[in-house]
Amino acid sequence: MKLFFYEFYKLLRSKTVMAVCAIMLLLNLGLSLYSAGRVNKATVPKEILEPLYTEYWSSPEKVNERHEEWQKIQDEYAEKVNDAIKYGFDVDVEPPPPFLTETGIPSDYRIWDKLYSDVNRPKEYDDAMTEVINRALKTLAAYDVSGLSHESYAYQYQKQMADVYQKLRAEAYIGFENTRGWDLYFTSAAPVLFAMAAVVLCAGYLFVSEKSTSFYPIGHASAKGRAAHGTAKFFAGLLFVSLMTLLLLLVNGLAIGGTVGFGNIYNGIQSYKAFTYLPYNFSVLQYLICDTLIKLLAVALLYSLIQVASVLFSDMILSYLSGIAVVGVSYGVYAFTSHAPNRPIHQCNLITLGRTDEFLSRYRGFNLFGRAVNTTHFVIAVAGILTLLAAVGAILLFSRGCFGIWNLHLAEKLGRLRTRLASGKKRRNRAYASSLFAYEGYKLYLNRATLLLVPTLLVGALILSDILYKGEESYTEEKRREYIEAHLYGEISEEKERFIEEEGERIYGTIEKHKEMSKAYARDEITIEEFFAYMQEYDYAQSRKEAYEQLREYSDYLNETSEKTGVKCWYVVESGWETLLFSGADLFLMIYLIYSACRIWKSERGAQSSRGAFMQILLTTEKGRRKTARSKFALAMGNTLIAFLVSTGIRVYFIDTRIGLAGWRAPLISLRSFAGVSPGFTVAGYLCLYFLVQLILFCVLSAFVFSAALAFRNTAAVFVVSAVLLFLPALFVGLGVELAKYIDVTALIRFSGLFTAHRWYGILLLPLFVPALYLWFNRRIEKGDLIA
Amino acid sequence: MKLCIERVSKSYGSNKALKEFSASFEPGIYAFLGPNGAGKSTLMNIITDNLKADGGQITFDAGDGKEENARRMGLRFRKRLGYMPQYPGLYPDFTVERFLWYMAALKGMSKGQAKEQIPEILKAVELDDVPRRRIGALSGGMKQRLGLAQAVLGDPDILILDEPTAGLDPKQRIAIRNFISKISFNKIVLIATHVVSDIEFIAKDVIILKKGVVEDNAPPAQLLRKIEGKVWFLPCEEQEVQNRQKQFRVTNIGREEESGKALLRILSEEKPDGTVRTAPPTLEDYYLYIFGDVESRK
Ligand SMILES: Nc1ncnc2c1ncn2[C@@H]1O[C@H](COP(=O)(O)OP(=O)(O)OP(=O)(O)O)[C@@H](O)[C@H]1O
Ligand SMILES: [Mg+2]
Repeated sequence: MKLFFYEFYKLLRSKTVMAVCAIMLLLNLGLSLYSAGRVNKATVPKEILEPLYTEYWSSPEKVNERHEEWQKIQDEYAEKVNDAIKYGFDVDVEPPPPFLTETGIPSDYRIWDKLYSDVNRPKEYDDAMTEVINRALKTLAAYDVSGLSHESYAYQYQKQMADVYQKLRAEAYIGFENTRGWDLYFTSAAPVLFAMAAVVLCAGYLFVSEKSTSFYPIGHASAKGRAAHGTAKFFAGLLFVSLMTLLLLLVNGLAIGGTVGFGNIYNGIQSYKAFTYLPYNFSVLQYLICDTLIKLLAVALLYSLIQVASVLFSDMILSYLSGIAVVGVSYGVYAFTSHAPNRPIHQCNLITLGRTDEFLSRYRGFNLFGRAVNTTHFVIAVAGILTLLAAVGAILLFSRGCFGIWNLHLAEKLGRLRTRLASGKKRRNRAYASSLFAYEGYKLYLNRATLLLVPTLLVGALILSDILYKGEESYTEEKRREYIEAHLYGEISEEKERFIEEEGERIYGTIEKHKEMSKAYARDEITIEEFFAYMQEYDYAQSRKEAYEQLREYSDYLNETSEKTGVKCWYVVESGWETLLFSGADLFLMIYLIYSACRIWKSERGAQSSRGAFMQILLTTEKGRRKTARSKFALAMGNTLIAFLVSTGIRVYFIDTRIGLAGWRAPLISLRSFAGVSPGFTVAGYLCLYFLVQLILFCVLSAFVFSAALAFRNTAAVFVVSAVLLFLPALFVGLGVELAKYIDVTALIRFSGLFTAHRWYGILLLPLFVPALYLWFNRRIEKGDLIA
Repeated sequence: MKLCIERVSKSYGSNKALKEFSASFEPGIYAFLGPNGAGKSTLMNIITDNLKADGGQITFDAGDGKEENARRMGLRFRKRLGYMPQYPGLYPDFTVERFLWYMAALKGMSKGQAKEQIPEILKAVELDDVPRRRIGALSGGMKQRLGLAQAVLGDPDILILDEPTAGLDPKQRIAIRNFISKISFNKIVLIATHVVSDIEFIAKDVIILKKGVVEDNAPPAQLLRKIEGKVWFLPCEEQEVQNRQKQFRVTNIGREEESGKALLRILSEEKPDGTVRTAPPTLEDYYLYIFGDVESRK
């Protein structure tokens, strides 16, 4: 127990951890206030509603009467307006005075609407339930007819669904009140996301910090330095992140409570529309407890996974990265499957689990060896078991001394291998390179962290590209692509116009004739063969109609644009180009760039002077200052170039093979998203500009982090801060905070969005930063004083 | 060739690590002696331009009679410098040989020079049997010797060694000491150390630092003269040893061969009572004479 307190104390005393938590709390507070404020503006104030609700509570007839009266006035007014329009009276019809409030703000309509939506909620709920139940029962009946076994997955699933909702329809309690606040609270994703971010940043630090203070061997040699120490550390951290999560949730709750206010906690959660299909008979209070516990479980799971990684890795940055990877991949999968929330892959996800609202929103089952298993319960059980396993694993690894495993065993093996290879060559008096650049490259690439990281990021990038750049198209899109590829690809021409005209006549003509043909067939005026031939044609027309309409729109656009600009546009398949030209803020690339820019200085700046920094020796040598800085800078830029080429290569390859990139000689305005740009650009020309801008921006990014890593000794902190500055605004934009877009660097990197909006050409001035930074750090390194 | 340090001061916050330090050095070995925290490493970092001093200056005369500010000389000064920090941070992923080649590149040596010197130096510091071992896999003493190897690489005129023999075994310690004295010809060598015997016979001057102030700066022989007649051998019974230690400043406890009694080596201004005889003073005695009592450290 004592150990536990010391571990907790260590955490509280860590500036890094405290700073991270403070930042997360502040951001969370800001975001909570912002969204609560937005919702508050859109809700009817409590002061207006309360008397009305009280009145309704005691004598609903009276309120209903008044509502009818209001309705009548409204109807009369509508009639007057109609008349005025009909007879062309040129008089303004005076609207009726506000009925419920003196000022008319908020409008009577909104007040009544709110009241009656609460009044009618039980009935509405009942209807919704009935509909679901009936659908399930109908399906079950159909299964019975078709003879489907009662043991089969599909049957069980429908049966369970019918049971759950039947029970709920009978039992769910929906009290009449001014419902408010809770739906916003339970659906806000921000607190748990911030909690996860805090976990990634703090948890990665916990075990590794021990290592970096060289305390580990001392601790490990003492009586309670292993299992007890590891357990205490683990649970102190867990307690800390749990408290942090609760605090973040509390802040959100306070923000909402202070603005919108909360409804009764004993009311049924089904009183809120967002929870209509929630498959549990919960009061708001019960749901609140459940929600909090599940969020804590998600946080604990993430925390435990990171602990395993942080026990295995000795490099702080790697253990941060493993956390980022877990959250990043979960978020990626979550985002890309959010159009199909019922898919198990969407449900078995850390982010979905942490958000809880989606996770609990309805009854879901999936097929586990032929049995219908409740997805919610299954995921909770799996998450619980995983958390336990990871916890035990982390503590065991820690106490067994596998800490920094990469340092000991692997290094030894690698060393032996290297020696064997070297001795195999039998070259005794070997000469090495004399260029500093080569040595810097050696330092950056040939170390465990980089050798481990690069393949991981590459695999990550490939997986993400695989998910992102799917050629999955709707039927209509597929048909449209067929049209373009088979008949229209290339410059616009008379002939192609004609094709479009003819195709239109064929499609519309066939559709129009449908009644006629059916009648003719019914009257035996045509043979069955003729009718079947027609029907085939009709199917063709129906299936193409929508695609054709879209094509038509595109063709009109191309012709009009060509006429206006005098440039002959092309028919191209837009989707490939558009995907390529609006992407490019590659998560993995940016992480790699930040990492490598930090890593370049790590061996020199990373260590403290008392533990020996190579900087001390470096600064005393002839080429240790400017020349070294220069080769490091060159390396940073070269590295950026290579990484950019690899990332872009992957992107282009996937888009080209999956979606298709044809027509690079076409004028850029052939793509509708670039409608407004100068007609002089060809796609290829713009592509060059686009890649160039991206490359430059990545170089600027690298240069910034590079100089920060030189300026501050703590490269891990530089890594974290850079990552936060880079990704947080994008996250905010994603969460709907408009203001964040002005500091969103990833939007700059995606470039095309700004380019087409004719905004921010100023970014082209950014490259000027690079020489400025370069001069600055040259000076700094010449002046020395970098070891204190 | 002459290196002059004039009134150099440095403080870390309110902690004055170095107070107006002045000294001048000509070719030869200079030893810095002082307890932990005396400011030795701080001074060395300032000379090597790793730290900025708060005040004072360092000038260098390359032998042409022209004194120049070392900081302002920058590159020309560093070209003549070899530095081994107290805790040399080396790249764990480099092999011994590659690291020295890298240092050669940093010091602007030609390939030919490197090819000639590196094997020699490796041999001198006895690392020639592990040239392909990763630095991360070296023992503490081996790393220490590698740190020395990189400092002497390129035959620098000024060699600054911060505790070069810390963590070495006795054989290595002697080997390194001899190596340093061998290469010190026509070089300015500054050595900070706690191991008095390391520099006792090779140092030209010994500079005693105490809380950032020069306490003494003289050749070893001159220092020894200061305590001549103050070092004594005092035989006593085993059970008396504790009492004697309270009474005198004891620098060593030995055993008398014939009588089997304990033989104390003590420092005392006056002749102690009993059967005592004078002992020839060593630098270690002198060090304890200056820093021996608890009060002088506080
Ligand atoms: N980076 C630093 N920040 C703050 N104070 C420092 C720093 N480095 C040294 N000091 C302080 O400066 C004083 C001199 O330290 P220095 O390292 O020069 O001593 P030293 O003589 O080399 O000691 P040792 O024999 O232990 O190596 C000490 O009081 C120390 O606490
Ligand atoms: Mg020191």
